[in-house]
Order: sequence, then C-alpha cells, then structure tokens
Amino acid sequence: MFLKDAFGGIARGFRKRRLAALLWLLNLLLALPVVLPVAAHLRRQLGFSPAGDALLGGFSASLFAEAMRAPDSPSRAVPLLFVLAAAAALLLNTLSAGGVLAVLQGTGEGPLLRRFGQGAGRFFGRFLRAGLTAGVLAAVAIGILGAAFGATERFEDSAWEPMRVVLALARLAAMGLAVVALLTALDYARIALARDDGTRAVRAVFQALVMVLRHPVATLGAWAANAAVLVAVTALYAGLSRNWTPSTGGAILALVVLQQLLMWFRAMMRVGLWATEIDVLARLRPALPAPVPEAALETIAAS
Amino acid sequence: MLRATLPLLLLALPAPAFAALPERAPEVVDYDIRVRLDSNEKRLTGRERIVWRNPSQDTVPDLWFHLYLNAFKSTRTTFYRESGGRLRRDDMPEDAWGYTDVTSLKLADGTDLLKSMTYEQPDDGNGDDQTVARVVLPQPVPPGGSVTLDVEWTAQLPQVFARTGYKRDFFMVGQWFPKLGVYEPAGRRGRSAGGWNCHQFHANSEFYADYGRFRVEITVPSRFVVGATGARVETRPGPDGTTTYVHEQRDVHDFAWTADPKFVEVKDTFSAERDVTPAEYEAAAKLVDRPLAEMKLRDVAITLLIQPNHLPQAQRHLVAAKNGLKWFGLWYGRYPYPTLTVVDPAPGAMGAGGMEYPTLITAGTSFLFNRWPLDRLRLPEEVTIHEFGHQFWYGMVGTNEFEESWLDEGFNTYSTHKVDAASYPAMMELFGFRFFAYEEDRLGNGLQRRFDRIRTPSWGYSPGQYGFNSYGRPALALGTLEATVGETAMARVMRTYHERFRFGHPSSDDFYAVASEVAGRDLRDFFRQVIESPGVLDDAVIQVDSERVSADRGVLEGPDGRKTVTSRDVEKASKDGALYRSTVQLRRLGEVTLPVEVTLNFDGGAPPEKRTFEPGARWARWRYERKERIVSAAIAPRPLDLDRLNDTRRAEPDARAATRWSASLLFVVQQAIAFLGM
Repeated sequence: MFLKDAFGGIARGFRKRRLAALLWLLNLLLALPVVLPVAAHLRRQLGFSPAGDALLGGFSASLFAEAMRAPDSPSRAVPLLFVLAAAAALLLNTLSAGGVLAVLQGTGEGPLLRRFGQGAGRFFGRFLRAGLTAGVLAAVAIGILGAAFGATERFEDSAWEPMRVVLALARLAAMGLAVVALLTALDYARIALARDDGTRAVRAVFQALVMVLRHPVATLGAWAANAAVLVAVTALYAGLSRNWTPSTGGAILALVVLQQLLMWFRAMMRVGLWATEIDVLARLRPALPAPVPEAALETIAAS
Repeated sequence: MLRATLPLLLLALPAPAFAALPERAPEVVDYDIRVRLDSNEKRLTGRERIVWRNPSQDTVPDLWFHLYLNAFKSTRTTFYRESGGRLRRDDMPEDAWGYTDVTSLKLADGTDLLKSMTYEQPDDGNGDDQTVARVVLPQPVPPGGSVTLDVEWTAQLPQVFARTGYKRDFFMVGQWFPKLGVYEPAGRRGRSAGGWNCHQFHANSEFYADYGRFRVEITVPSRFVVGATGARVETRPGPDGTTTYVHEQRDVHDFAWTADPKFVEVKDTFSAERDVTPAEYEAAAKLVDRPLAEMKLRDVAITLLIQPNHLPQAQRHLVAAKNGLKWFGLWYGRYPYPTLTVVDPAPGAMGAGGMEYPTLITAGTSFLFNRWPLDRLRLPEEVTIHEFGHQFWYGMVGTNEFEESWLDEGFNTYSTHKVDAASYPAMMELFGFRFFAYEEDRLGNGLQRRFDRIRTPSWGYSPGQYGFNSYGRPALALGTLEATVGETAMARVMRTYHERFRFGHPSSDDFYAVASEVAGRDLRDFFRQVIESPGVLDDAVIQVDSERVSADRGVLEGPDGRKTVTSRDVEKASKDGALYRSTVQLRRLGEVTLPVEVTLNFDGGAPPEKRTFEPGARWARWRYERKERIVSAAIAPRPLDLDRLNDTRRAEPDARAATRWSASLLFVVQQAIAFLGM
C-alpha cells in the first residue's frame, strides 16, 4: 500500500514540474553565495596555471588544498557562509512548505507564484512553531539516545573486532530513525494544519508523531521508497562520475546541466513526497466534514 | 653544523669504485637472554648476560642503559609529560602502567653493581624519569677491551598504546630488556670526544643501539603462538604447560617478540630466482651502476602472524613483503637476514602496529579491508612496505633516531613512495579517486612548516611538528634532491650511502658528503637550506604576457631627411611581421633560494627556451622582443615546492578546471541544503 502511495505521489510530483523548478531555484539561490567566493578564487588560482589543468583529469586533494591555501583564499569564510545558508535554508523551508501545500491542496487563486506566495505567507507562523516544536523534540530524542549510547561504550573494547563498527552503525541507525520520524511527523503536522486550517501547531506535531509511531509502515515506508529512488539515482550519477572526466568546454557544460537536472529531479521527488503524505494523511486521519451552516439547519428542521 | 667531511677535491676525481655490501656488522654487544612471560599478570621475568666490547680508543669507566618501559611508569615520566598520555591516535589506558625493575646487576665475577646504579636524565633533568640508568664500573674498560655483565629484572608490561605491551592475550614485546646505549668514539657523527649516546625516552623519540648478536629463550604458556627476531633454532616443551622458543640473530641492534594464542601462522618464501626477473636485475644494475653479481638477492623465509578474521588479507601482506624485499634489495642492497616476520596486532592493539624491529615488523589492518569496496585501499600494503623499509633505514643503517629522526623516517618515506609506485598503480583506488605517492606529504606542506629545521632532535620540534618534519617533509626534500641531480644519480647516491654505512651509525653530514661525491656537484648549499634551516620553498611565476611592439609614428627626422609616418603606414608594415615584447617575472615567496630551470614556451612552433632562476635572487624579470608571443612559463617541478599552481603560468586564462570543480562544489552544497529540507 505504501509503495502505491509513494509512486503515486512521485508521479504527481513529476506533473508539478513548475513547482519543482521553483524549489530548485530557491535551492540554487541559497547555495550560490556559499560557492561563488570559492569559484572566483579557483578561477584566479587555476585560470592562469597550466598545473591546474591536472584537475581536469580527476580530483587531486593536494592540488585543491594548494589552491585553497593561497593567501587570498576564502577558505575561512566558507564555513560561516555555509552555516548562514543552512540557517536560511531552514527558514525558507518553513515558508516554502506553506507554498507547496497551498499549490498541492488547491487553495488560493491565480498563477503558481501567487498561490505559492499566499500559502507561504499564510501558514508561516504556524509552520514555524511546528518546526520549533519538532526541533525541541529532536534535541530531546538525541539527548536520550546519547545517554543510551553512553551505556554501550564499554562494549566497544571487545575482542570481536566488528563490534565497534556494529555499535557505530546501530547508533547511526537509531539517530537516523529518530530524526526521520520527527521530520516525517513535522511534514504531516504541516499538512494537517494547512488542510484543516488549524492553529494549534504544537498539538498538531504531537498528533502527527503519534500517527507516525502508530502507522510506521504507511508513513515511514513512503519516505523510504522516495529515499530509495533518490539513492539509486545518486548511485547512477556516482558511477557515471567515476568513468567520465569532462575536460572540454562542451563536456563541462553538459556536466553542469546534468547536475542541475538532478537537483530539479530531487525537487520533483520532494514535491512528490508531499503529495504522497497528503494522500496518506487523508486515509489515516480524514478531514472533518465542514460544519453545516445555521440557515441550512433551520431549513432541515422546518422541513 | 654542516661540515665538509669529505674533501671536496673528491668531486674532481672519477666516480669512486663502489664498496661491496658488508656481510657482517661489528660485534659491539652480545645479549644472551632468558625470559618468561606470566600471561595472567602481564609480567616478564628475565635475565641476560651482556658482553660489551669497547669500540673506541677511550678508556670507558661506566655503562649507560636504556630502561624504556619505565616511560610508562607514571604521569611523572618525561614520556607522559610530553605526550599527555597519547601517541599517534592512541590513548594510554587508565591504570595500565609499565615499568622495569632491575633486581640484580653483577659483573661476571659476581661483583655487585646494583648499588651503584643511578638514574640519569641527560635531556631534561626530570628526576622522576627512569628510562636511563648508569653504572660505574670498578675497573674501566680499556680500548678494545670488553666487560661481561649479568642482569636480572622483572618488567611489568603496559597495556599497549605506544608500540609495546599487551591487549588481552596479545603481547607485543619491544624495548623490554635493559639495553646498552651507544658509545660513540670521537669522530663518529661529528663528535669531538668519545662518550655515551643514551637519551631518555621521549614522546616523539625512537631508538638507537649498537650491533651484535642476540640469543633469546622465550618461555610462554604453550597455547601461545610466538614470533620473534631472527631464526628459531630450538623449541623445548616445558614441564609446567609452557614452551620455550629459542631465537638467534646476529648483525642486529635490537630484538623484539610477540605472542598471541589467536595468531594464524602463514609461511611463504621470497625467492631470489622466482620473485625477481632477469630484466629487473639488469635494470637495477644499470640504474645503480653495479655489477650484476652484486645485485643478487637472497631467499628469505617469511612468516606472517595474522589475526583469524584478517586471513582474507594474508596474500596482500605477503605480496607487499615480497615487493619490499625485491625493490629495497635491488636498489639499496640485498636484505642479508634469512627470516622476516610480519605481525598483525590484535583488535584494540593498533598501538602496537606500524612498527619496526630487526627482522620483525608489525603492520595492522581491519576486517573492513577484507572485501569490496574498501579492499581497494592498499593500507595493509603501505604499512607493510614502509615497516619493511625500516630494515634498511634504521635496521641496517643504524642512524640515531633520537637526534636525527629524518634519516630513518624521511628516508623510508621517500623509499616507500618509490617501492609503492613500482609495485602498485596507486595506493588507493576508490570510486575513481586515486591517491599517489607524495599526496599525503603535500597535503601537510603549508606555511606553518617554516618554523622548524628538519634536522632537529625529535623532542625539539615545535608542538605538533615532529611527524611532518620527520616523515613527509624530508621525503619531499629527497624528492627535490632527486629532481635536482636526476633520478639515476639519486639512485646511485642512495645505493652508495647504504653500502658505505650498512651496519654503521652515520649522521646527516655523512649523507651530505656521499650525495655531493656521487652526484658530482657541491650540494652543501642545498642541504644547508633544505635540511639545516627552517623555511619553505615556494618559487612562483607571477607574470607572463606579451604586447605588440609599436613602431614610432609622426613627423620623423632621420638621416634621409624628414619623413611622415602614419598609423596606416605602421599597420601595413606590421603585417609583414609584428614584433612582440614578452615579459616573464618570477618571485621567491619562500625562504629557500635554490637554482631552478625555467622553461619558456612561445607560439608559432618556436622551440622552448630554458633559463635558470639563479640562487640568492628574490625575483627575476626576463624580457624578449621577438616575432613569437610567449605562451607560458614553467618552473621545473620539485616536490618540496609549497604551491605547484604558481610554478607555471600561461598568458591566456583557461577557466575549464575552475568551472568544472566549482560546478561540482555547487552540486555538493546544493545537496547539503536539500538535505535540510530546501
């Protein structure tokens, strides 16, 4: 069932290509400020240096390090820029969630951008509160898990060599599951708030979390199917990268186009996941019927 | 510091005849040791008879010993204070101390010397450090004379984190017996007067000892599998559930052993006939300029002691050991011992890994490398070849690892890169990413390296700088020396150095002299700048451009009278052959100023021009007026140069490489941001 939901959602995501393109554009605009200083620096370092052409044949950690060690390198600013971009991404995610849901659920009128903007603005406050609630819950979960992991540290010094790796993987899996469950719950909370025009964001997050824990296959399964497709596509790209070293201008342009197409594809998958989650929520927690108007009640009573 | 140990007149003479490989070491000290392992208490009980022969013209009144295990005795030792209880990436386990107690020290005639034994701290005066002991002899040892001692001791092994100790039932027993220091006569290693060279055990130091013979009887519970230096000459079961293994080896300066019930023993043989082709012998003979007969290697019995769950990697270790035996043997001189033992430490005992002892090395690997994809990381091979290489640099050429760590670690890192390149296409091949020799060294080569000289006592480097200045930076320096004198000359330098100082104790000055002699040029300035001085090498081409030379225009007075020259006249004339003024500017951004060849490339099919950026100059500008425009300038590559990118410059930019990797960086950042929900 969850596979049917998942692939149905992905198909809808592919139909909403313009919406996905909007998300892709926002992603690009967030990433560019981080990368542009490095790109400018690399142009200065590699542009006039025939030695830098060795990078056309493949990545060299030492050559790249030499480029980034040059006196006017932005290597110190880049981590800060990334942190700022990450913070902006989290905020923008809150806005764009409202926009995406408004478009997918058919609320609002007018062209795509207008509906997106209306949804983003309308739900921002509630979605922000929901996001903060999920963040706090994530911190609590990580703290509890961290304490539990601390109790397992004594098993690391085992004569069985794989123990350390097994423990590390188990911890990663536990953390990952907790984070995925909370992020999925956040998605469902936001969908419910948008669908029902609810205002109680904190309550919505808890209700969604309970729903995820009660229906893990339906909820997390849809996420897993979506993630599996992304991993498969990424693996294909990694395989291609291994055997293809673009060195001409045309080939490099083709690489850039391919990479951005993949990001657009990723955005479509994200929209598809939203669409899946809307359907799952509708099945697990149908919307309450709209209240009957007073006048209609009187008419019924009179008849 | 640098002195011309060989008269420079030698440079004017024809190339010297080579010295045949010494087959025997001077026998300065013999050890006859009996040791018993208490595997429950992790304790050794030992006794040894030491015969020391005075190699000098001095009358020596005392003996100095190393008691290395006392470095792990408490938090007050010099080792602990300097390391903070951490070596490489391993932490000292809590309350798992180690130490040596000498319980009896007598002359062969029974004269008790223990009462007169004192602990010495020649390096830092730390009264709590007991890693060096001194005994005054009732009768000094005359030149050429000898003294025989009987020593008894108990040693508590530490839990392993710094080379030696135990982990559960695994024991790596190194630096475990009271060992004499080295008496250096006047003239050796630049000494003006003879004396004992016996340093305390520092966090960053290794070891130094004299050559001789070892006969060691090791008694362990019978369930243990044992490996040790040298050949096993006897195995004796004991009446108490123990077995005694007797090993002997001559021409070495140390002895180590290991024991673990879980070891799987895999035996193989390096065959001088089968594992080396005639073409390889011939190529090596030509490279190092030695008769073919001198190149012949010997068969070596290899024993691999490997953990059971690493068995899929057994062949990798054996092949690596054989590659080491072949290439080190061909290039520097055959490995003279009949045995080689390779040890794979137990899980949790990686502190014992990556270490060298005469005829016994420890490697270290992980079960993760058993299968794809991590089996493409040749880390077991790298460590096996590197540790084997120490048989040459440290083992047979017995340099002082305390005072001149670069002579073993740097030499070995350089040699290992060459053996790796001869043996494997790349040391790492993972998802299209390849890692070659010098990559790691280059990654560590930055501006922060300008504060230390390579030639510095191992405890004297600025914080955190011992590793790079002992391993990577000297390897880059030797690679640069090779680029300077040529690959063939460098091969002959290294061969001659090994031949001359096999079973000896050379210093840096000895190497400098050999290098100058064999390369046929005075290399003192090279070594002064690169090894003896702090500072970095970073030469840069900062300008490469051309501009058209304009002819004069206007109303010109000349010998033929007045003439008016217009722009159209100039343009018409230039079509018949424009002239370009090309400028190349170079700068020295680092402190090191060595002569280097620069290649200038012009367009129009003109052959490249070569010029020298002279030593001592901080900058240079070269100008040309010719029909061809300059296309690029390239400084000859040298591994030690901090920045390859500024070693070459072209007149016209090419944005492809920058665009390609900026795009990939953008893609990675976009993925990370998408992961955050955007």
